[in-house]
Amino acid sequence: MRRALSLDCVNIYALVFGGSTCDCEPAYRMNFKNLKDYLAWLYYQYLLITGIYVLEPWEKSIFNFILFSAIAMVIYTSYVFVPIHVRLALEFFFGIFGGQPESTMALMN
Amino acid sequence: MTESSANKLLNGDVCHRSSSGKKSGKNGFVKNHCLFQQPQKYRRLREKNQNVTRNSSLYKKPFLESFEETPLLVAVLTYMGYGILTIFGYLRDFLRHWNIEKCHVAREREEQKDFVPLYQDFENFYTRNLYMRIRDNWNRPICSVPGAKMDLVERVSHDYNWTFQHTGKVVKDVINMGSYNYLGFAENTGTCADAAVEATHKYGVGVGSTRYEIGNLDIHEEMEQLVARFLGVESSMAFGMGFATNSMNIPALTGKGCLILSDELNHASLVLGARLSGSTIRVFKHNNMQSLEKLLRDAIVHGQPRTHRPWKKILIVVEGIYSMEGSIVRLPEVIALKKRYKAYLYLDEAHSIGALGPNGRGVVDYFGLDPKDVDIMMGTFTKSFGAAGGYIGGKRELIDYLRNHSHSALYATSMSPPVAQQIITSMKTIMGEDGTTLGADRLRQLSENTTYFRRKLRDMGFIIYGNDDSPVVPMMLYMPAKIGAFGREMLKRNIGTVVVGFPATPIIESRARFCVSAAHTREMLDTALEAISEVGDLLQLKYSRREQPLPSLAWMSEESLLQD
Ligand SMILES: Cc1ncc(COP(=O)(O)O)c(C=O)c1O
Repeated sequence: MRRALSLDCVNIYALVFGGSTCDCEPAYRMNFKNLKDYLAWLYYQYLLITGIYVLEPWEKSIFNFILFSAIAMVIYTSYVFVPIHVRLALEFFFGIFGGQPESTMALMN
Repeated sequence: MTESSANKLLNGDVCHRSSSGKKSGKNGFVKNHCLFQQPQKYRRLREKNQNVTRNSSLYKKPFLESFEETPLLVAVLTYMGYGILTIFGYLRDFLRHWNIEKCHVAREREEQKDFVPLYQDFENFYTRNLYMRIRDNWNRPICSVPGAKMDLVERVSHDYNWTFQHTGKVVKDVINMGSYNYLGFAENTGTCADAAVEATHKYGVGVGSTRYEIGNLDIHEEMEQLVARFLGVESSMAFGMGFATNSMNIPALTGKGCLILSDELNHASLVLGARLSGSTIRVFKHNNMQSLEKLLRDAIVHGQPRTHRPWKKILIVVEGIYSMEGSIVRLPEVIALKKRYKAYLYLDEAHSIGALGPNGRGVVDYFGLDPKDVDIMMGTFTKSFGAAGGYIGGKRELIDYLRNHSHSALYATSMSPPVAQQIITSMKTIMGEDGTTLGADRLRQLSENTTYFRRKLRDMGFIIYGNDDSPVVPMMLYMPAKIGAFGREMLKRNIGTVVVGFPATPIIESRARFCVSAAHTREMLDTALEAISEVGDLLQLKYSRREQPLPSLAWMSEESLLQD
């Protein structure tokens, strides 16, 4: 059970960050004892890929702060504005297609 | 039939037997590519195109060299990483500029402030803001003989690598995967060391004069004769330093009105020598014979710029094994070109002498060619022989000329006698003149180790550059943070490696470079490989996207392609 979880996590990781996704040889088979290990490993990969592994702790914090606040803002704005936009868009398209009289449709058929 | 089909051939996709004639025949060599078609190991190779093999008939054995393409995503992420680090570099520079943080590096003095800035170019920026952060991976003090295993002085830094303190402890028995100790002659025991001690008792260590004056010992002459015999040339000459051999002898050989054709990845010493000589320098693509031929043709057709007089001399400068790429020069083709266009050839065998060829006599031996076809055979004693210095071998007239004209012969103190003795003894061992088979054993061990190590790394899924026979094994890391992380993680597992980044490599092609040695036992290699694999998983370094089916399957699929 544990093992299945870890492998799935790794596969998701591989899909997101690239690397070999070939099924024949999972070169990245790491065995994690628990979720905490796995998250630590994921954070390590994040450090390596962004390059902030080499930075000093305070620089790391700045980077993380900026990145996560940016992400939070994106999520928040999408939460606030996307439903409105979707509703407006739906109304617009209904205005075009849904507003037509039935008889025209029949004619076209 | 175009160039691209030649590329394809190398990539092992298709084999056009019938139509391979026309274009590749332009050099006047035999044309059948298929002669050289290898049993396919991998189906989907992604090589850089630079590595087109033509003129396969010139090679007696397969010339397998691979440079797998950088995966696109990795390249993008690498650039992104550098981007982030650059931004933080600017931030730190800004803080230093306004004295918000202490500046540890050299900067302009107050009174120089309005002059041309001294520390603003990219390399300075890079050193200050990127290299400094992972500096602990380099110039680590070693406190034993750097053989197959070594002891390191432990050191710590409390201010993020600006300064280091020694803790007084020693890290014992670190497996050394970085020294150029190809034949394992870097030893403090054994016949070579004993002979060197004896030479010290006899001659002392310092000589105190140049070869031209009273620094010419009998041991030097003996060494030069031996080197000439080893190389199979008429005469040879030794110098106290390999770097100076290149940078001081090229200026003695060429001058104004001469043309130097230099490989783009040539060592700094060759580049410096070429620049000092005052000749015109043109650079051809790494190991790319089409590029070289084009330059040669242009040089002959157009002559010197403006005057259009013919060049006085054309000197092709190549290396035997390229130390960052692990590639072997396409010597048979270079020699064919050199003969065809009547140019001279300068071959730097720093890494290949002793390490390649059935008798350890370098690339010439490896390809089974005649040493007389190479005009200037240069090499160093620093690598395979475990000594110091360099040599030049060639025709007697050439060497006599150099003795009187080379700066490093006239103005440099001659080689230390124990070093000369180390060279003599190790070279005799390689040649089998000591009456044992120790030399042959070492050569065999090196080539076995090389094959084993390369195959294992490739099977693990790392991207490995270079020729299958080269003991220099570069393994790609790409991302800047991984350079530091790899070195540190390997050292944690008691393995010393060399990691290389810009400026020694292109900025995105950072790599770790292993040098296989005959002194490594199978157990050591296995330990190292295990650690590399572990770190490779941890850092996600197994980038290779080669599919690796069974060789027999690959053959079948090729056959079916042929029938189409
Ligand atoms: C190709 C090449 N030439 C010359 C040298 C310089 O030799 P030495 O270290 O003996 O000065 C090196 C050293 O790394 C080299 O790689």
